[in-house]
Amino acid sequence: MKPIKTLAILLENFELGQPSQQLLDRFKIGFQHDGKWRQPGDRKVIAHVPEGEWSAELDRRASEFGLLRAPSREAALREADAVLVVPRGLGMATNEELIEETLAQLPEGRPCFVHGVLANNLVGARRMVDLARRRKIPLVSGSALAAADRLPPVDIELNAPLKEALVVVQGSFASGEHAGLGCLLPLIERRAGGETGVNRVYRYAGSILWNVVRAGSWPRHLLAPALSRSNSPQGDPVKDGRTQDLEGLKLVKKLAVNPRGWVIHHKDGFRSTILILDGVVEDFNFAVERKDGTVVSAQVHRPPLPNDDVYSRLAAAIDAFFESDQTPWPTRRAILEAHLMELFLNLSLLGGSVTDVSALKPSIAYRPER
Amino acid sequence: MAELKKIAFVLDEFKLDSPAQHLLDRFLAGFHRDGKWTRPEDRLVAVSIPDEEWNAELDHRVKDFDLRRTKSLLEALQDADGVVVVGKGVVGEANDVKLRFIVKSVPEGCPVFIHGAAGIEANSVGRLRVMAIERKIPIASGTTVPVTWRLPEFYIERGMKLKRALAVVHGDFPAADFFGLEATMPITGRRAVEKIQHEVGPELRTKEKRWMVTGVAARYLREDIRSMIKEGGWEELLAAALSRSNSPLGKSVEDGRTQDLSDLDAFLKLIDHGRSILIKEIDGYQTMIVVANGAVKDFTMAVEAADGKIVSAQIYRPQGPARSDFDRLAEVIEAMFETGKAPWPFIQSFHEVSMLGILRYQSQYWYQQPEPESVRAVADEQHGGGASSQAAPKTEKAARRSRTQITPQRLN
Repeated sequence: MKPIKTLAILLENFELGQPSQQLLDRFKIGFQHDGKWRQPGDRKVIAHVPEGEWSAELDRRASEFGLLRAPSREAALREADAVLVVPRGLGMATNEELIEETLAQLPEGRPCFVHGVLANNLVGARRMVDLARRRKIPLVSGSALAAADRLPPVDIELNAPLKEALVVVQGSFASGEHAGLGCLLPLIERRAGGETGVNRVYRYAGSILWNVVRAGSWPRHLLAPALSRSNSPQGDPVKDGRTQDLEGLKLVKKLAVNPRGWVIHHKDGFRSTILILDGVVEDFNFAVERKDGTVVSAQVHRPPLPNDDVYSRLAAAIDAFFESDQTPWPTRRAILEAHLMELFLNLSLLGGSVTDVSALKPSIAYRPER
Repeated sequence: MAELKKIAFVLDEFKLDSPAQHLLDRFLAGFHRDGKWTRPEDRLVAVSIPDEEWNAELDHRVKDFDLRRTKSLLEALQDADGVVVVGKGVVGEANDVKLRFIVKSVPEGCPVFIHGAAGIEANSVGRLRVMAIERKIPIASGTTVPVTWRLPEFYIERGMKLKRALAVVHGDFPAADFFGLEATMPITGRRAVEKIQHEVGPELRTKEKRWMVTGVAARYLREDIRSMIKEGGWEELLAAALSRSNSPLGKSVEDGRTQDLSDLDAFLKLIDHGRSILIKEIDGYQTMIVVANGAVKDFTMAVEAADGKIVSAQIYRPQGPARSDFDRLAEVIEAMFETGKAPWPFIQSFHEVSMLGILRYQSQYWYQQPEPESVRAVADEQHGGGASSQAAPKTEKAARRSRTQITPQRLN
């Protein structure tokens, strides 16, 4: 473990309740982890936000907790032992220029964590990873869902023989898609052989989503186990609190508002599905089927706001990464994530239903080490 | 496994988002169990409720789910394979006379589950249990607190050597205090205790030094709470419990910042109308309940082993209106009805009611054994039973073993 004496946090803005605040506060004030309060100790935390974005809230943190303000990005990076980059927003799109310049200016060998997607497309993500590799910078990106608890606390063992997976999330484009990948990718990369890359991505929106299921285009049999883990069924349960078998009673289709579905065919024959079902439930759930037919399902737990304690888990993962240079999850997950977000965006904008990327070379293959 | 053809619900009221609604709907409409929807066919669910409490919501359930309204309590209990009793409020305002009537009137051997406290005063609970033993009726009481998820998973082996346990809860008396007891009393039920021998006539009997409470003290003023925590050296355990909270109040609500609640001063500064309760047992084991109104809005707990190791967790209470913690309680109740085995010993219920009785009228009470004769008989009987408390539903536990690599926090 190497001590991180100076941590640079690069923000585009500072907004209460957003990842910028959640992460900066945890690294400057401290956070609860593993049954104990983890204090930053005498670590120096230097923040940089662009001109005009420094706010009264940051002033309060400077006066109460000794947050240091860097006059420029270069100044913040110059003495940093590690850097945390938190672009504006929730992480479904990023500021590639900020990340690229950070990777170029950061002293060699210093670890860098980027909140959210690493880039807005495949080319950008590959460029970032290449740049980091050339400059020997341990690099990883991700959002809080990657570190979230599960209810029940299931995990997929490494090299598990999996057949397919389905996640149910909510949100407008592209926050729902980003959340879906945040839940999905940490699960499916643990399958036997690891991630092998993507052949095709299908987009089903509106009534088509329900029509194509008859042809087996996505695994409807995984919807019930995924929804069974929800704590927030909508419809009658909201009106009169009754329990309800949403899928068994065929209420999902009725409740879903502007549903979207993304079906990803992987190179090894694995299939994963993201359903964005507003109006059905209000939490994120998944079901994964093994090759022997058994199903593992759980809710991805998101603690209540404003504390949003899932960021404590993310902060702990980032801290461990900074101190060890061991990435908490594979860096290449970020490339796949950026690629899929790009494909989702293109299909949505162009109104297509399928995109074939089987010819992509090299394919995005990776496997987690632990 | 007994086939459950008729379940009787005895309610004092039926309001949306109340325990009565959550439990009745699960037995009537079904619930999620281990990733699957379960709703037994051909099961009669009968309800007895005072006429003045019958309402349109129950009418909906008669129409939609064939809920059977009975003319009398006796009719509801007749031929029942299991009885669920739910009083008013979040922990149930028990009606001792009604409970005794139920235990006297159900078919012999029919299990009875009481949501919340099992009585208004301890001797009544003792008498209830004696009646239940005589009629071979499995009986248990409780809330979702002992069975809901722990965040992170929290498991204490039966027979572990423990030093003390602490729960942080919030709310008014007696609900908050009862939830605190619900969190901590199962630990008392599982911990290792010495055995003592005593003579009964010519016979030498063995008894466990369990449930032998020697005193209860409560503190209500901030400075008194501080003294109780500091004098007993509870700071570390309190900090461990609070570290599992997802809802610190104060500054965290104002501007979302994280707060170090392990700092006792900062924690106490937030408390408004709080209290701390200390329970001591004969062998030195201690329990503390901190009612932390104003400081946090969730329930957390921490347990210290005899060797000083501490584990802590949040007692997860999912949001309404679905409240899926009631799925887990319904699962436990259903298993109790099917197997005829109570999920935890009734002596636990006796002690919960006993503590609440003390706290209702006094700020401290130190006493010596013995307990009332009826209760001692219960204790002897229950200790042999070995029923699991803090029981996660069995199917879920089995499933977790078979398909996960999660290692829950363990104190061994």
